[in-house]
Amino acid sequence: MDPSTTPAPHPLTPAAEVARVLGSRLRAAIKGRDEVINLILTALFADGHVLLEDYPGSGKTTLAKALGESITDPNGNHIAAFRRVQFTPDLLPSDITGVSIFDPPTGRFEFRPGPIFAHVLLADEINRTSPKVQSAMLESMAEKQVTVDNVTYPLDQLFFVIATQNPRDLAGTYPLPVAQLDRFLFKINMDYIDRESEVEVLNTRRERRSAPSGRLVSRDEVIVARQLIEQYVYVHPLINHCLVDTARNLRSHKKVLQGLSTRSLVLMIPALQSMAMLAGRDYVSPQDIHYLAPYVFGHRLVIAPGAGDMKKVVHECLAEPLEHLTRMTLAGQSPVPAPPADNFPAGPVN
Amino acid sequence: MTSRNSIWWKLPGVVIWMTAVGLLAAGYTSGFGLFFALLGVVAAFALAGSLEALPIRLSRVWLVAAGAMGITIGISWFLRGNSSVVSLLGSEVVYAITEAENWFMGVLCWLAPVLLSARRYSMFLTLEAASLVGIFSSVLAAHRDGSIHRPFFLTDWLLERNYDPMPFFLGAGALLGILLVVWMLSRSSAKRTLLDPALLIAMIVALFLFLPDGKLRQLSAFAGGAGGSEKDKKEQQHHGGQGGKGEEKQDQGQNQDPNPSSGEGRKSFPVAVVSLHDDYQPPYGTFYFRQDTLSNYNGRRLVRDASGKLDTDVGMPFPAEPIEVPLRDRADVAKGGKERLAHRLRTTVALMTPHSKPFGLIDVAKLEPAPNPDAKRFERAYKVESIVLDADFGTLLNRSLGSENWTPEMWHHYTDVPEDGRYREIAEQAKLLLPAHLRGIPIAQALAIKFWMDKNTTYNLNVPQVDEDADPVASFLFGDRNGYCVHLAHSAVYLFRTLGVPARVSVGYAVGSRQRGDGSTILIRNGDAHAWPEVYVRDLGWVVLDITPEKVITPPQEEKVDQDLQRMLGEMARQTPGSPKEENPPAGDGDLRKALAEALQGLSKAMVPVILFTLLALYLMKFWRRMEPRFCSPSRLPVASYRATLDSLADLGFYRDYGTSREAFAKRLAPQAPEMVDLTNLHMQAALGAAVPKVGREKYLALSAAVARQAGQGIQWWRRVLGVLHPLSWWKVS
Repeated sequence: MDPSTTPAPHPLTPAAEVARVLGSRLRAAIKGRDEVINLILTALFADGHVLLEDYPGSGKTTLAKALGESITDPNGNHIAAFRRVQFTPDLLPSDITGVSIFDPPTGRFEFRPGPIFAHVLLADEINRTSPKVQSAMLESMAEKQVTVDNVTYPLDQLFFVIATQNPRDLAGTYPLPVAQLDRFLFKINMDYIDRESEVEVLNTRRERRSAPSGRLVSRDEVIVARQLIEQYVYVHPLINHCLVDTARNLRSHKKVLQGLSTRSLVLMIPALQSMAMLAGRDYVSPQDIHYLAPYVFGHRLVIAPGAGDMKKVVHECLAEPLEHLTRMTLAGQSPVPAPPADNFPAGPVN
Repeated sequence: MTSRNSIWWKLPGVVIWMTAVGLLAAGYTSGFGLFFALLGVVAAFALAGSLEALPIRLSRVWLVAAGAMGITIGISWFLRGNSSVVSLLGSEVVYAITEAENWFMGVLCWLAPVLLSARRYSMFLTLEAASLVGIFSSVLAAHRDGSIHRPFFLTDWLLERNYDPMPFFLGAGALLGILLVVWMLSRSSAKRTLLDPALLIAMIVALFLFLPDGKLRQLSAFAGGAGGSEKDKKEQQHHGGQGGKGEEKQDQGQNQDPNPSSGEGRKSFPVAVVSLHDDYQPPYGTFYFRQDTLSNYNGRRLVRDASGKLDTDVGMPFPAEPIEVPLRDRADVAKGGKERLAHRLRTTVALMTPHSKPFGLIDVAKLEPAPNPDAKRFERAYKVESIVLDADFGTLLNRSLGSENWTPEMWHHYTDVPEDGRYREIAEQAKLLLPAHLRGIPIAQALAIKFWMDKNTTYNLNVPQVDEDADPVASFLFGDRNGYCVHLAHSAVYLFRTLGVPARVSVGYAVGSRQRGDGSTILIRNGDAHAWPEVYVRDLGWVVLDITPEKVITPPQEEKVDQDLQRMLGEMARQTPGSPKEENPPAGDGDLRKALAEALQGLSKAMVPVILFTLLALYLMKFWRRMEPRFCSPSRLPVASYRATLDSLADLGFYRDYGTSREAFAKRLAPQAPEMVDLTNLHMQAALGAAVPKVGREKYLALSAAVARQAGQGIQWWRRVLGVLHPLSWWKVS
C-alpha cells in the first residue's frame, strides 16, 4: 500500500493495546466475569477504585491478583504488584500504611511501607474493620498518599483498590457511609456466574494455576493509556448536559433522599471515556452513560426505604435526558443547546 | 403493578361506567334490563382484569366478542320472533329474558374488549373515552328544547330569546366528556399518541353535526304524516323542538334513545288548552283529538292518503276563514234527533307549542279562526265545531260497516292488508272469543279482535323505535307482542281489515275524561299524544275502537293534571287578546345549532383543499428526507443518510423505541441488516465525536441502501407498499 495513503495510526491505539492485553489475561484467569472485568478495566483507566459486593469464593482475589501480576514495573522500586489485606475489626491503620521503626545503627526512624504500597490492592471485607482504618484507607485512595508520623509518603500513581464487602452477614460490621462510598468509582454487585462458565472454571483449574504466559503490561503503559484516554476520547458537550440533567432529575425524584454530588459527575467523565475506549470508540456515546450510570450513581444515592430497585430509579431519571441526547444527534449541525443568557439586572439596582 | 390492579384503583372507572350505562339503559329498557346492563359493566371490568395478564391477541378478543354478540342477537331474535315460545312463556317473560340477555351481553361484549385494549395500548383509551362521551352527550342531547325533566332556569333564558338550547346541552355533554377524557388520560402514564386529540375533536364535531340532525329528521318525518311528505322548515325545527306534535311525540318520545326522556324520568308540559263551550262526556271515557290519519297501505305500512280524495276530515290548514269539513254520514245523525247518537259541540283550541296542522275533538265539522288570547303564552288559537258521538258500543252492534256512498276502490282502500296468512289466523282465533250467534256480525268481529288484543299484548314503551319505513306490525304481532300505541293501532287495523272491516289509524291526542275534572277546560300535554284504530260505522262515520292491553310494563303517563293550572290556562285561553304583541319576535331567530352546522359544513368543505395540501406537503417532506443524502453537504451527510435510513425502516415498521439507544436499535436489526451497525457508528461518531469521519458519500448511500434492502426482505409486499404510501411514517422517527 502506498505509504502516503496509509492512515496515521489512531492516537488511542497504544491504550487499546494495553486494554486488550489486560483484558485477555484477566479473561484467561477468570471465567464468566467479562462484565466485571470490563468494569474493572474501566475503573483502572479512569483512575478510580472499585467496590465489589459479593460473597466469598467468587474469584475476586484471583481477579485482583491477575490484574496486579499483569502490570510489571521495570524501574523496580519498592512498590509491589499486588497486595491483599483482609480487614478485621482489630486491624490498625498502621497495619496497612506501614510504620516507622527505630533503626539503632543510624539512630533514626525508618519507614517500613505497609501493604498499601502496591499497584493493585485487594481490600477484602472493608466493612469489617473499624472506621479509623477505613478513614486511613480512604485518605490513601483519594489522595494517593499516606501520612505516618506527620510524614507524607506518596503512593504509586497507578494505585488501584479493589475493595469487597459481603452484602449479607452484616453482624459486627461498620457499614461505609455514603461519604466514604463516594471514594469508589464503581460499586459492582456480582452474581453467581452462569452454568457454562462455572463448568469451565472446573475444567480449566489446572491450567489457570500457573500465571498465563505472554505479553505483560508495564506500569508506565497504563499511566500513558490513562493520559491518552483523557486526551483523545471526545466528550461532547451534550454528554455533560445529559449528565447534569440526570443528576437534577435524581435530586428531585421523590424516592431519592440524597441526590448526586457534583463530584460524582466529575468522576463519571473519565469513566465514560474509558468505557468508550474499551468499546473501540473515540467518543462517548449515550449507551456508555446508560451502562455506567447504575454503577457510578447507585451507591451515591440514598433512596427512601421501600423504594425498591436502585437501578430502576436511576434508569427512570436517566430515560428522558438520554432520549433527548439521542434525538439531538439527528438535529443537525449545532446540537448543543445555547446557554441561557446572563440575567444581569436591566435597570439600576437599589 | 399490584397497586394498579387493586380494586380501589378500578373503582372510579367502574362507577363512571355504571353511571353511563345506567343512564343509557334507563331510557331503553325496564328495570330488569337496567339491572343486567349494570351487571354487564361489573362483569366487563372483571373479565378485562382477568384477561389482562394473559397473552391473548386483541384481535381474537374482539372477534370472540363480536361472535358472542351475534349469538346473543340470534337467540333474542329467535325468542321474540317465535310465537310458540311467546305463547308458552308469556310475552312479559320473553321480554324480560331477551332484555336481560341483550343488555348484559351487549355491555359485556363492547366494554370488556374496549377496557382490555385500553389497558394494552393507550390509543384505545380514546375509544373508551369516546364511548363514554358518546353516551353522556347523547343523553344530554335528549334534553334539547327542554322537553324533559330539567331545572328550568337552565334553559328558559335561552328559550325566551328564541334559541334552541340543544347546542348548550350538547356543549355541556361535550365538556363533561372532555373532563372524562382528561381523567382517563391522566390515570395512565403511558405516552400519548397524536391521534387522541384529533379523534376527540372529530367525535365532538360528529356529535354536533350528526346526532341531533338525525333525530330532527326522524321527528319531522313523523310530524308530516307517516309517509314523510312536504312540510316547511320552521315546522321541522319546532317538531324536533317543542315536541308539540301529537302522536309522534308519543311514538317517539320514549324512543328518543338516550333517555331519561321516557318512562318515569319524563317531565310533561302542556301543548294546548281546549275549552268546551258545552258540557260533554264521551261515551268511551276519553277525549280523542284527531290531527291526522293513516289509511293507505302502500305495501309496507300504512301511510297518509296522498290522493286528497279520501280522509277529507283531516289535513285542513289552520283556518284563516271558516272551513267546512265534509262529514257525510255523521252530519245527518246529528240532525236527525230521534235517538240522540251524536250532537254538535263547539270548542276553542289554544296551542301552546307550534303544530303543523290543527286538531280537534272528533269529528271536526268546522274550523274557524280565533284571535290569539295572549301571544306571549299561546302560539295561536282557533275554534272547532265537532260532531261528537253519544252512542256507546252497544248501540253500534246492529249497524253495518262502511258507507253506502263508497265506491269499490274506497272499500279496497280501507280494507287493504298485507298478504300474510298469519293475520287471518289471528283474526279467526279472535273470532272464537265470540258467542256463536255473534260471529257473523262484522262489528262484533271487530270487537272480538279488540278483546283478543287487549288480552294478548303488553303495553311497553321500551321497545325498538318504529322506523318510518318499516312495518310496525309484523314484528310486533308475530313476535313478543310488546309495544305501544303505534304497534297496537296498526295491528288492530290490519286485523280489522283482514276481516273486511274498513279501518284506519288516526293520530293526535287522547285525554282521559277524568283528567278534565269538573271544569270546562281540557289541558293537553305532550304525553297525551296517541295513535288509535278507527272503524267506519254506517251513519256514524269513523268510530274509535282503541286497544287497551291488560298487561302493562311501562305505564303511560299517569301524572295527575294540576287542576288549578288547567283552570288558569283555560281562563287565559278564553281572554280576549290584549295589546297586540309581536307574533314572532324577530330578535334571535337564529337557530344556533343550524348556524353551527352550516359553519361546520362550510369548514369541512374548506377542509378538503387543506387536507389535500397537507397531504402533498407531507409527501414532499417524506420525499425530501429520503433524497437529502444525495444532495446535501458532506458535513450534513452522516445525519441526512442516517435519517433517510431511519425513514425507510419506519416505512417497514421498524421504529426505535423511547429510551432505546441508537446502538441498541442497530443491534436489534443486526441479524437482518448488519450494515445498520456501521451506519449507526458513523452517524454517532459524526454527531458526538470530535470530528466528522472521513467517509465518502458512496459509502453512506451504499450502507443506507443495503439496510433498507435487507430490512425489507422478510416483509410482505403489500406491507411495504403501505409503508411507502404512509404520508406520516417519518413522523415518529427520532
